[in-house]
Amino acid sequence: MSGATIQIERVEVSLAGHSILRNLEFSVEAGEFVALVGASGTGKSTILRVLARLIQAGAGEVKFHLTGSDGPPRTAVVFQEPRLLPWLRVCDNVALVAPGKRAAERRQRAREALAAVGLSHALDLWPRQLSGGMAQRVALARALVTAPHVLLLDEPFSAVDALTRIHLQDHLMELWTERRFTVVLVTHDVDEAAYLADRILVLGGKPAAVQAELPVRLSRPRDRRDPYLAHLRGELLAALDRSTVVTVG
Amino acid sequence: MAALRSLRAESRRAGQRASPRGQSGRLSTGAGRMALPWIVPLGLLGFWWLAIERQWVLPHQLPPPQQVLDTFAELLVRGELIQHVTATVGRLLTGYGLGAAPGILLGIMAGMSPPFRRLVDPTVQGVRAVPSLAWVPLFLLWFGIGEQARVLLIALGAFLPVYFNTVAGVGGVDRRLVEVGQAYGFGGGAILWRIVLPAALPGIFTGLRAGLSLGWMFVVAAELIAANNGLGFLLVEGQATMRPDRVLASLIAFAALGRLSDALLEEIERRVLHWRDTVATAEEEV
Ligand SMILES: Nc1ncnc2c1ncn2[C@@H]1O[C@H](COP(=O)(O)OP(=O)(O)OP(=O)(O)O)[C@@H](O)[C@H]1O
Ligand SMILES: [Mg+2]
Repeated sequence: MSGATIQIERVEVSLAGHSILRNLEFSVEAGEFVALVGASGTGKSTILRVLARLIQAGAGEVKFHLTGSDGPPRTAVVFQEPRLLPWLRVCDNVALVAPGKRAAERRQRAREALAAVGLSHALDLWPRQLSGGMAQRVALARALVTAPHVLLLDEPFSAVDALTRIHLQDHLMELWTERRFTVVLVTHDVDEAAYLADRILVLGGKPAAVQAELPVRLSRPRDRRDPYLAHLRGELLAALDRSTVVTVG
Repeated sequence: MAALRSLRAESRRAGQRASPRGQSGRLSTGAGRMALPWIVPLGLLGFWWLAIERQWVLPHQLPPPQQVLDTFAELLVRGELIQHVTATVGRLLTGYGLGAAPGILLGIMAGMSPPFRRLVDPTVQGVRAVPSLAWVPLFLLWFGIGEQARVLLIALGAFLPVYFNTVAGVGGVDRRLVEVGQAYGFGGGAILWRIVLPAALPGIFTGLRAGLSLGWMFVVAAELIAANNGLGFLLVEGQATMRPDRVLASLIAFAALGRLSDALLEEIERRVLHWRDTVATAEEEV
């Protein structure tokens, strides 16, 4: 298992006649963990949708490369909302996208993925019976079960309590350390971005582009109380502030 | 570890659902609740009996309840009723199948593909604009007074609501769920089969039930006009021979069959769509 590289070159996206992204440029290395932050409505979800090939860029190029493979890499998305299929039980929601020829095999993988997010007891529940945080964890399990080369996360932990969030972040970190898939994480939580990412991209402007780039120079495993993280948080907030001023000005 | 444990506890709590039961008022307690639905029918029955006792109506207009029951039992015992019921149900099912299947198929195609929809929708709208029974003379001219005309008329009646509800159901599928399929690399077939169809099923079932009720309407129309068997024929014959008891017996059979078929479809719908978050299903889960 390994990650794919992503290269975004001069990408432009317009939605309903409005230019959302212009001259967007950034690249992600294989196995790198990148966080995207920016004000609400900037276009973070739109970038993920381009990466997931759900919308076509109006101009520019999005390139993926997976060492030792010609085909496109497997991408998995955790959307901003859980988007579970309401007619399938939790386990079947995950099994639906799980790899494997036989149904029993796919279900087994789904059970494992759900166990990893602490939902072993919820296999037979219907999506409507889940709390918001549980549903987000199912969505995360659904993404992880596909053993993706590129994992796209759109505020995946926004609906869980602080403790669950910490647990899920650490779980994601463990899996990432083990499998080294490439991650693009959109988040509003600057602490989350600083704690998890190798590099943080600050998005801003209208139409949006990358305004600032902050490397996180901290070895892993990381300590949440590391003073460097507090320092980084300050820098990140300042960068966000500047990028928002750009929007207004 | 503590985090994980609290995580599990939270999930378990969320898995259980509160089932708020309404506070029972006086009328909704046991016996009162059981009796309530029977009051109006029994009152009507009493009024019927009274009307005959007091000779407000003539026996050849309205026979006493007992006689209707006797006639019904007699029709049943002599096998006459079963013969008419078989004829009616047979043509209803044939016509319903012939109408509902293309209704679903064309409905899905029109719901999925805007060009196809623009191609067929105006025509179907035009057909719908004609009050359905107005097609009868044309059908009789085209297909003659025979089984074919009757079955096709029923098929037309069933087709329309199934088609329109399927189009609406497929068109109303949450685009964000379709995106899940796209994001995970599903092909067109898998998206249709695993996402669009299940999501459109509630709409399709609405159409199937409306189509069934129209099918019953059309089976009566077809048999009233041109048939030599079936419950509708029993109606006309009862009228021609001045036998209101036979007319009423036939009405009872229609009511029973109509209710039964709808209940059956409702049960199938309930089973297929038991994932839906409705008040009706909220209480039985977990
Ligand atoms: N389908 C669409 N049609 C037209 N405009 C859209 C569409 N989807 C998004 N937009 C616009 O694109 C812009 C960026 O949206 P996007 O969802 O990418 O923001 P975001 O950065 O993810 O915001 P948030 O943090 O609130 O999730 C917004 O101004 C939004 O109004
Ligand atoms: Mg967003």
